[in-house]
Formats: sequence, C-alpha cells, structure tokens
Amino acid sequence: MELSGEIQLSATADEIWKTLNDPVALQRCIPGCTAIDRKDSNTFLTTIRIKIGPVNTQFSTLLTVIPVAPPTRYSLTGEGQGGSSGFAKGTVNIELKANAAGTLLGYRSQILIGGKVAQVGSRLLTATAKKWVRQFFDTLAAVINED
Amino acid sequence: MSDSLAVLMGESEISLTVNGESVSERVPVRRNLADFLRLDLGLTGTHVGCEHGVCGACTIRLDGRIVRSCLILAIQTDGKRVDTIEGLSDDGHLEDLQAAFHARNGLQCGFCTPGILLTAAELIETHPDANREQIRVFLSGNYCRCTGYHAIVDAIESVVRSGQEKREP
Amino acid sequence: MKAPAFGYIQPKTVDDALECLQQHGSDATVLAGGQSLMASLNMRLSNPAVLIDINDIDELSGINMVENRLRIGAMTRQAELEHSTLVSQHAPLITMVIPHIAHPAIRNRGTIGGSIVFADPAAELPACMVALNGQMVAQGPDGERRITATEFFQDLFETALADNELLTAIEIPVADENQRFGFRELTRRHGDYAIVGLCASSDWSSDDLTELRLAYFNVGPRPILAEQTASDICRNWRQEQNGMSLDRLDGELDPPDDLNATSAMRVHLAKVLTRRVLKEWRS
Repeated sequence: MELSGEIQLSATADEIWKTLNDPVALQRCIPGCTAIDRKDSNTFLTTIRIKIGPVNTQFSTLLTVIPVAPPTRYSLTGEGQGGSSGFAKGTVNIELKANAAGTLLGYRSQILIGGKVAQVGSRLLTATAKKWVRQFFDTLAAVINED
Repeated sequence: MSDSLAVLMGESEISLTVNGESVSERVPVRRNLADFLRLDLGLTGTHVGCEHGVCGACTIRLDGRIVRSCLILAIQTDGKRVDTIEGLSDDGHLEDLQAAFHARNGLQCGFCTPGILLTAAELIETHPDANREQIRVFLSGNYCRCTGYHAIVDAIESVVRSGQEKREP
Repeated sequence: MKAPAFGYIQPKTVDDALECLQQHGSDATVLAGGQSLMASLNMRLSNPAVLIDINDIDELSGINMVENRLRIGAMTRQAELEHSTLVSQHAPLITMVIPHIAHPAIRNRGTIGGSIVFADPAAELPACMVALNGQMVAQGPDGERRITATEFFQDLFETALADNELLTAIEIPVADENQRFGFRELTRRHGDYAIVGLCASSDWSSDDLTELRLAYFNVGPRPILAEQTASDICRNWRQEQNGMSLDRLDGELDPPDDLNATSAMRVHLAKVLTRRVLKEWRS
C-alpha cells in the first residue's frame, strides 16, 4: 500500500537529518519500538511490538536511513520479521523543502506486509499502517520542536 | 501476593469429569481442550478443523452447554464437566438424532458429524419446535463439506417432528 | 496451529486481577470468553507473555437493576443475555442483536465485556452500546470510573480503557414505553461479521419522532453515531414518507474499501438499512 503526506517542521533540513539518525529519537518516533541498536553508520536493529486487536507480536526490524540527495532527499527502509506472524517491508521517501516557518517535510511510503498477519489481519492493515506512518511523523515533529 | 496470583508456566495438574468419569492429568498450560481430549484422553471423536472457532468440528459440551473446544484451554476445565460425542452417544443421549442421520443420510465422511450432533442436541433441547429456518440458523456455525446440509436439516427436522408427536396428548 | 507458550494466572477477585495487570503490564493479556483471543493465539498472531484468566471472578457476572439503569457484569455470557427477561424488558435492542453474533457455541462462552473491550469494528455489541448511550464501568488502581460509549470506542481495536484497568460492568439507561429500537445487518451468511450494520434507538411522542440515535458498524475503525442524519430524520419525520433523503450520511460515514464492499457501496448499504428500520417504525 502507498501512503503519503506532508508535515511542517520548525527546524532546518540539517536538524531533521540529525534527528532521523539519532537512535534515541527514532525509538520515540517508531510506534511500539521497545529497543534500538545502531549496527553501522546508517543502519539500526529495532524491536517493535505490535499490539492491535488480535495481533500482539514482536517484529525485529532492520532500519536503514539513506541520504539519497542530502539535504533535501532521504529514504528510510525497514525490513521486519515477525516470526510465524509474518513480515513487513517498507520504504519511506522523504523530501525536505525549506520555507519561512522552517522545513516542509513531504513523505511517500510504500509498505508491503505479508504472511499470516496479512492473510488474517487484512482488515487491520491499511488503517493501522496509515496510523503508524502518521504517528511516526507527528512524533518526529514533536521531538524536533522540543529541541 | 496470594497464591492465586502465582504465574503458572509449563504444565499443570487438572481434575475434571469427562463423560461422567473423574479424570486427573498433567497438561501443558497452552494445550487447548480439543487437543487434551484427543491426545491425553484418546477421545478422538472430537475433531480439529480450523482451530479458530468457525467450523464447529470441535464442538463439545462444557457444564451442559455446547462450546468450541479449540477455544478453551484444558486448564480452564479444572473442576468442570465435559461431555464428548463418545459419552453422549454411549449413554443414548443422541439415539434419536443418530437414527435420523442414518435414515436420512445426514453424514458422509463423518468429520463434521460429532459437532453437528452435539449442536443439534442443544437445538432440540432449547427449541423443541424449531422449524427448518431455525434449524439452519442454529446450525450455521457447523460446516459440512460433503452433504450440502439438506439431509442434515431433514434428519434434525424429523427428530423435532417425532418429539412434537410424542408431546401431543 | 497451536498456541505458543505463555504464563497463566487465574485471579479470583477484581482486586487481584488489577494487581496482576499492574505487575505484568503490557506483557499480559486478559482472557475473558476467549472466542477472539484463543483464535488469535492458535494462529500465533498473538504472543503474550502472560494470560490473566478472569473467568473465575464471580463479581464480574450478573444482570441487575441499579436505580433506573440496567447493570450487566462484563463477564456475562452473550447466551445469558440472549435469554434474560431483564434484558428483553429493559434493553430490548440487546435482545435483538445477540442472536446475530456468531453462533450458539460461541455465544455460550463469549462475553459482553470481552466483545466491548476487543472493539472489533465489525462487531455488533459496541454499536449497540453507542445506540443505547451505555456507560462502560472500569476499575483501576485509582478506583472506578464511567466512560460513555461514544468516548469509549476511540479507534481501530482501541478503547479508552487503560492498560491497568479492567472493564467490570456496562450500565444502560432503562428503556421506556416511548422508545423503539431497530437493528439490521447485512451478512453473506448468518453469523458472519456484518458487511454493514445499524443499531438504532428512538424516542417518540405519540407518532412524532423526537430523538434518534443511529449507530453504524463496520463503516470505519469504530461505531459511528450519525448525529446530523439522525436530526435531519427527526426534523423531517412528519413531512417525508419513504422518500426520506439520507444524503447527510455521505458526509458522516467514510468507510474503507475492502474485499466485501467499496466505500461507496457501504454508504449505500447503510442507507438501505436505515430505510428498512425507518419503514419498520412507520408501520
């Protein structure tokens, strides 16, 4: 599924890039993230607990933050394994445009969810994915506005 | 904290009545009642189909009422009464229904049959004057892949009819 | 598939259950009727560390009158509600709705509290609570609180119940003789989750419709109370016959597309169901 949107942030592109690379900030932004470890300069290993309705399971996810064309274009990719529950793969393409109030962040995400979660939880998926993507960026805005 | 709040892990002892007999077993905490009946007690008349409550093949009686044995943990039946197809058949409880199913060809492979008989028995107990529509509604939670249901409804209807005839003065 | 391993506790009182919730937090899941949770465990969609089985807590069951309210314990089995004369007298909408929930064997174990806390958008009981303006009674470490149905159901499988709280009862204002109720749902087979459903509660003054609550389900992440549509219908009741325009519903409902129906089809079906209920009331 594809999800896209825009969010206004009161920060510069550089500050946003720094936050996207900060594991502490990322853990706060990613819904259900209970642990995060940096593997190398752009990669993190995260544990995400998903608890919605019938689904209550842990996904271990490899998250990569890619500077596509800094300071304006970035990409976040994640690949998660949920054991016997299924898997999820996603890419979020981010575009940053400077404006008077700071930076306008535009995102376009593609998420693929497969395995049992998708088969049985198909009613959940679009609504939940939309919610998570929105939550990620809302929290990102909150984290950035704090600094 | 009181004892009842200690977390049970692994296995636990349970004591219950199954088909009128006292049973005591040590079972894994995660084992459901259907698997307990089949694996621990050898009562394989209760069948496992979907394991998520929709097909009805695992239907048994718990404290006198039909339930899905795949959706109950064995440890939850401690101190309770369970009746399966074996017990209800042996004690003659399902005699009329079984005869009707034979007469009307209400079963082919037999996989759904124990669940259907138990459900039909509860229907007749609670709705002794059920019509065909009510029979179909009550049985809507039991899937049959062989018969197309019509013969099953015929069989149950015939038992309802003879029950009505017996009650007539 | 078989359920994964978990720890199991069976508290005997509400206080003990709350103690367990405090202790185990988000690692624990409450086991009520088990008709949804056990399925989820068997399919390994769910992997909680601890199950808190509340089936042995007597104080959670029972149907009683409390002043002018009907109080139903959260662990009351759906089958018990189906056959209760107190319920058919004082909350007849529940009596209308229950036979449409799954199948008899499920209803013998499933509980009203479990259905409400699980908050499946396609479930009947949450919409029923919204139509009846019911109150959810929750108990937590800080005591008891009441949450109105419209505030209780917040989002997809999300309610206002905190992680350390237990839903103990539901309270519904007693129906009076000036009220009528309606229920319709569209399913492919009897007992299926509804494609679209409607729970309705209305107040009358002789032949005049004075108040209306239309609670639709499976039209979004939670039951939707269509307030504008309802007030339109009340305002136009005397003039319009069956040609009642329900265009407001287009703005109040924003259902998802899925395998069963598109968003537009769901809105259309919601209108069909509404007309059926209204027609029933006119006759």
